[in-house]
Amino acid sequence: MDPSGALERLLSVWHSQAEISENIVEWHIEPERPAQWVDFPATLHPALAAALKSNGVHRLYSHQARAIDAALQGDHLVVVTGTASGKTLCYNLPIVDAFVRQPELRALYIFPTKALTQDQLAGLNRLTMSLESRPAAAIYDGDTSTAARPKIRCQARVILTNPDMVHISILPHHTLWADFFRNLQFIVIDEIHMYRGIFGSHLANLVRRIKRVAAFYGAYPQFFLTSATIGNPQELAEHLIEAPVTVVDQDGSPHGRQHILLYNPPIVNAELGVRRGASSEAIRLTSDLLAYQVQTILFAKARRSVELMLRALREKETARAGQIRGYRSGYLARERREIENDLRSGQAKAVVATNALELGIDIGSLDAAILVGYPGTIAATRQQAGRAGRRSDSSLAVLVASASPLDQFLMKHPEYIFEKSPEHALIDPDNLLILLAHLRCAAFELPFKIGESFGSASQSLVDGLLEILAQSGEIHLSNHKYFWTADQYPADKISLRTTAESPVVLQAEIDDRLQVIGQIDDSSARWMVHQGAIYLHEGQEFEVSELNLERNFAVMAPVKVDFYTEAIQKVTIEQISLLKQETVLGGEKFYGEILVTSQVTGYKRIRWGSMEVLGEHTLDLPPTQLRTTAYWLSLDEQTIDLLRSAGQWNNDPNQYGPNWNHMRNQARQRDQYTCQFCGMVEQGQAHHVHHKRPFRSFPSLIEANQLDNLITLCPTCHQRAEQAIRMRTGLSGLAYELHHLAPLFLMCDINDIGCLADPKSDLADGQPAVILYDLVPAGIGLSDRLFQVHETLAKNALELVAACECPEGCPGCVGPAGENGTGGKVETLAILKRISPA
Amino acid sequence: MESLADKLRALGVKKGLGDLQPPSQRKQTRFDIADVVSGHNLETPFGTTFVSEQDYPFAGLRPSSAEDDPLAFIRQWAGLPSAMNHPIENYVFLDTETSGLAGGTGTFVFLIGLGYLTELGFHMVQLFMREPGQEAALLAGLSQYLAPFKTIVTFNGKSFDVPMLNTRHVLNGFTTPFTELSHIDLLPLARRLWRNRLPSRALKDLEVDILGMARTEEEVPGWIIPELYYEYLRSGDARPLGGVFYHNAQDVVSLGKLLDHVAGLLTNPLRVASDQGLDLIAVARLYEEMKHLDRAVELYEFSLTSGLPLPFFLDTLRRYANLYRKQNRWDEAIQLWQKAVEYHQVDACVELAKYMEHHRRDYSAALGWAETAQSYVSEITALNIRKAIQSDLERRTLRLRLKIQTASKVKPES
Repeated sequence: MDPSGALERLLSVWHSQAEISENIVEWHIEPERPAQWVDFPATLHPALAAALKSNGVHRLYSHQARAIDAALQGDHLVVVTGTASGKTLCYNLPIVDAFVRQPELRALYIFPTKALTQDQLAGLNRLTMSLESRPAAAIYDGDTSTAARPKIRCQARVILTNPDMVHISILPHHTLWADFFRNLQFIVIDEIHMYRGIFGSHLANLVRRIKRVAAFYGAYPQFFLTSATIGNPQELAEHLIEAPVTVVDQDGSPHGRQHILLYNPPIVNAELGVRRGASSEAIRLTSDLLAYQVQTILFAKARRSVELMLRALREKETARAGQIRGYRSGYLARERREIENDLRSGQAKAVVATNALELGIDIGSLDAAILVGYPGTIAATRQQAGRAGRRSDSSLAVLVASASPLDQFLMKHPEYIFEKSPEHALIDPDNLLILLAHLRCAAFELPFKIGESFGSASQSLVDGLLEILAQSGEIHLSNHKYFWTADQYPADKISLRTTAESPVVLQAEIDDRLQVIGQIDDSSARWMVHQGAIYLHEGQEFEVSELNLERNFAVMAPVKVDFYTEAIQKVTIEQISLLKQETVLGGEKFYGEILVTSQVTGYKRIRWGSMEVLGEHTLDLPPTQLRTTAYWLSLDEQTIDLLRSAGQWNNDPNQYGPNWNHMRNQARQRDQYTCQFCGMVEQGQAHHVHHKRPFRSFPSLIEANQLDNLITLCPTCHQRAEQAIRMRTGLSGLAYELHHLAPLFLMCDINDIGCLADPKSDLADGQPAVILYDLVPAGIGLSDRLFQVHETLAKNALELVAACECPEGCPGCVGPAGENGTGGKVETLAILKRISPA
Repeated sequence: MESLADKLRALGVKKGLGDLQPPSQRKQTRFDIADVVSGHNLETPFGTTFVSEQDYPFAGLRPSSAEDDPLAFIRQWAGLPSAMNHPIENYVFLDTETSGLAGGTGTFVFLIGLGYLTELGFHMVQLFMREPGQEAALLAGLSQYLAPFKTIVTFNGKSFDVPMLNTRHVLNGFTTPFTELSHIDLLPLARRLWRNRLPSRALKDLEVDILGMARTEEEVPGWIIPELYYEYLRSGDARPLGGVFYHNAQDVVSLGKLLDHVAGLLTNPLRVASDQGLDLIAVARLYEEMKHLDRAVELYEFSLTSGLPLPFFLDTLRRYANLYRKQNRWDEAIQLWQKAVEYHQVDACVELAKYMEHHRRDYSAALGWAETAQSYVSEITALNIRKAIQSDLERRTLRLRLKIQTASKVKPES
């Protein structure tokens, strides 16, 4: 069957079916784009041109030719073109061309994952196969056997590896690679949009170390980078390699027509703003696609959802169950290769995958991609959508929105997906902890000369940190150089993917013995694996029996329960320094350093599905401190007055009125000075008196303080009752909203940002403030960018809340309304109107 | 203003910052290495390094006659060409003390001990680096002292000392002297010789268990040495390094004695170790590998009567028989297998069955041995091995029965 015709037929069916088409909020058609061909550049070596022709390549796409031109001029390069646009050839051609002329040259290829490396090696070998003297290429990673390593070090001209391997194995033993470094001419860093936040800041320091070691051997390599479409590819590339970079972004590859649909599942409960689940909608769409023989990939966000959706889809499509596959990390390499082959051959009709299939692994092009929930970044959205796309035939990509504010925002702002991306990949190579870690590694690799620089890090900072390492004895000054003088291998203790010094090791009792199933950093451990916590790993629930923070381990055992746990955290914030301050509409915005003190004081058990709180438990854990950078927004007195006079300010402390004492005592007497929940009798101290319906929700004091709205509770029970019906204030609605929208501008996960709404903030002279901060010690640049994009953030937030159809707040705007409380949507909207430019 | 150290502390960095000492309290008492160990400064084109020299009495390793070549077997075992039979004066014993065991470019050598034979006995040269910044001078001194020699002898030097010194040469832009030297590493040999007899093959344990030597209270344990050097760098007080020099010198002397012992053991095992059956069978295996089969036979023969522990006795029977089998000396092999059968050895029964089947074409006798094997197989404790042997024996007996049937049909007609 002709897949393209079938797809177009199905699309017209969807178009005419109201129950589908009414959920499609945007039907975007990317028109067919013909190839822009150019002939091989005259400078290309004839042997290589012949090799290309024997591979069936007779011309190049325009961007490939442009990349080669720039490369031959010696420029550092970043290629930013779409999925399957032939990016690899952009660097392989100039590099192989150089090899043909100078066989002694070496190249280092760095890929973010091991899986990608295999594919890239095969591609490179295909290109060089017919060359007379083909450069030897080899993978050098954790899977390479010790026996094979010396031979690879000596013989391979191209080494394909990953950042972790360069960090832990190659650089600390660079003398074994002396020949390699002496002749190192090219470094390829593929998929640089993966290197952002902590990982990116580590990578930038790794590049500093590579350059430093290469310079020791007299080599100054040329860098070739590639990136998916992000808002700032040049900036990111130049941050990573600290040198000017030429951007090649005019895509000359051909592309068939692509339909891109934004699909918002229908609302099933208007009151609570609940929509139908994204995965069940995605499965429904996939069934249709399978019926029309359209080969489809479904992208799920978590490994666990891959398995759940795979099961659901196979149950629905029993006749085709064998043609539906799953794909995620955790599958065996052999199994993965088999699935990749089945996808290329068309034997597999559908695959449910995580983002493991988003990067350049060769699975051919599919007809349709369904994204189940916004993948978290626009770059990933485009990469995943790009997995469907033929050179000439039509293809389809559908983004099925989840209930989160960001998904809902994008449903109303498709321009962010189709036009200029707002996403900036941010890194901070000079983050103190990350920089210190890499200075240790660099000092191990080669002694630092006094006054030697380290990338573009400020000299006083480098000197200061080296001085500290010298005072602690880790390095020793001798003959104007600092020598590593500790019996340690520093790279061993530094993971490129975290900043934590000593992670907590997770041990699970499986088959009567303790097995290590993973590790998490110390501060996350307190709220994720405290005693009694339910921890999810590979879809299995574990109950934690012990968390030992002195020896950094947690012990857990598999359980089957119908609830999850949520830690209760007490957070306080102090200002350390104020770095930027500016008056904005309705108040002021700030950027500075803060100290966040958090303490996990207990946890709740919450039933899956109904979200009913099954019980609360207290914990005795020491507080942790996070010193980081923050952006905060304060509201000025005038704004609050205006809100207050309009009855739209509900953050003032309650004034219970002149009759309160009297009513309070009456209630206690009526209840015989006994807690009406737990039955405890007052002992010396008066019990609390609680408003059953929140005080704030009454128009007048007298009504709120009616005796039958009051109840006597002991302090503990009172706290519980307050939590159950806590009213969402306008300020906390605003915080929820900004927090969820921020990742759109930061290219980060929502868990990378902390958030606090404080009605009387010390950071703003006691004014109400919303504080957003980097959840990374010393910060990684997120808050600084939020400070810069404040106006856009506020404007987008206003649009999102104003456009949301829910009456009282929902997960898609200011957060869900409380069980008995109110959602605070009106109040949030009122604040947003005051702070957003018209 | 907040200091960088305070900032780091606030960020949760614990390591190193707690025990900072103000500079004034440090380097109060300076003792140069020359105040602790007798020696002199060696001037090189790359600076100064400290050298300490000493002589030790030493007997052994010298050939008793012109034909005598005590190192012949060791050279063969180490894979050195037979043309390398230069005199013992061309051998140098080498051991290093380093700033750690981690390896990689951040670990360096600060003390190198070299020992060689002279008319006076055993001459020791120790080169010491006062500061990491004087490494070039240390390495230049090393090359100077190594120049007359053709072979180095080390203990674990192939994996540790030499790669580390090579790294240091690369880092200083020097050519390494070791590509020009042949190398005998005694650790792998020691492992082969004493794997079954001794719980540890570390040099310090071999000193006690094999060479019967003892160290004085000057000795410092190896693991503490990097820390002693760091402490010296911080304080400028070289006094604790006296023990490190002693440790290094002892290691080098032991290397000489160990080579002497091993040379004797390989040349004349029955004289050196007639009371150590386990050493003898270890040497026999080396002989076998080096194709000195007559010497191997002699040792196997002797050690079978020397009261070996049972598992080693049986293992030796097996190897010995196998040696004969490979030479087609069936009578000798059969005798040994039959001896092993007395100890219910399944594999010996199988060998006998194979011999009867393939060489004598006596299928009934072969079946008899195979069935004997089956009756002993339950004594094998390792489950996987037992199952594999069981199924092998089932196939074997089935095949033999078929052959017997066929033979009995064919016979009357022929």
